[in-house]
Amino acid sequence: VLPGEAVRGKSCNFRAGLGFNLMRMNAVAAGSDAELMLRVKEGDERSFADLLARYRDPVVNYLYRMVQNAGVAEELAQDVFLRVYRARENYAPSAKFTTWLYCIATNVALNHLRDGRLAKYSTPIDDPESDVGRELRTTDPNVEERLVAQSQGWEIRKAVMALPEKQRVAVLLHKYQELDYRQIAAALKCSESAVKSLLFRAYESLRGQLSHLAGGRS
Amino acid sequence: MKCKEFERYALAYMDGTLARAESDRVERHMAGCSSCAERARGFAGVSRMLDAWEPIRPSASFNARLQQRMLEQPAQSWWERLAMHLGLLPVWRPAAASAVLAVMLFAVLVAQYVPTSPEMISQQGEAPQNIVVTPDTSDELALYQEMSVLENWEMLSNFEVLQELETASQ
Repeated sequence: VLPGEAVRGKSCNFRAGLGFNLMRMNAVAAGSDAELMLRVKEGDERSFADLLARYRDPVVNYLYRMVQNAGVAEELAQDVFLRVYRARENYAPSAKFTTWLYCIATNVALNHLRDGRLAKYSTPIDDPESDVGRELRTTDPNVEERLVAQSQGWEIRKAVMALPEKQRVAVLLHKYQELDYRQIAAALKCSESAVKSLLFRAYESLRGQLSHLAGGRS
Repeated sequence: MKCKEFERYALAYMDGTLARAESDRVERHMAGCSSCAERARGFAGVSRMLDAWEPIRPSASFNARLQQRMLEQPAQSWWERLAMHLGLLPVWRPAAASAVLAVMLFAVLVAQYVPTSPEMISQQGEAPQNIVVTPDTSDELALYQEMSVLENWEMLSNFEVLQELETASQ
């Protein structure tokens, strides 16, 4: 069990067994994320900076869409990269780096959502001082059009937030992070078949909740 | 293809990741099932709406803050590295904490335990020399001079007896 990933009895353990050396050679030859991570393991801090440059924005945005608060998302993303860094000595490229990374990010996000940690950063998505509220005081001629778009955006975010946790993870990893079913299954510790079912139910739910918006967008 | 089977293929069909044969089967089903065709259109609409959710940009200080936190990480001790290598650490930590707590509780219990050996009882049982025993109180006093009886808290809490002892000594 790697130190950074254990979250409430669960872990993202993709350690290799007998084929470690072969996998290492493949990773290095491919010039992949795994190769960078192996260099980090050997003490190369620049490779960690490269990984951070590659995945900082996607991880922050995944967490932002999970918790729907930019400040919290940044804090959680910092936790994720710290865990990756701390786990460097035990890293083995037995699975795609992104699977491992989003498994950690998912655990961090779900733990946050379950225990309400970092509440000091939280502001509700319908905060009156949000962008919509501020926009009302502007004199921009396109303000009405933008208000409609913002209102629809708010409804979409609310609908996603209303999904059960696993459905939300599945939708976000599938839609925005472009993970395949196998990777999503690894992050959620379930079968690929279960992921397909989660996605179908999530889209059914979103279709029902957002049907009133569909006419104007399609 | 039945509607239940369509559920398994719907998202993959939208993603374009189905094999040609499966994709054809999905399309044939939708051509004959207006409900599933409507679902597929709805899913496509949801997907377009989700596209409109703009990403955010992390703050400029993100990397600097992360670097600071990385530098703050304490170096691991040799036993932590060993436990981590053996894959024990996540389990070991709470177990070790529980063991330490158990030892502390045991130590407190041992420290508070007062042994009542026969030697100690006989030492405590020597009667005070300045008590004068009168015939009418002798039986009762004999009872209370049996110090093992005074181990009983209910007896000790009977202050009348102490008053009688004072009276008898005068």
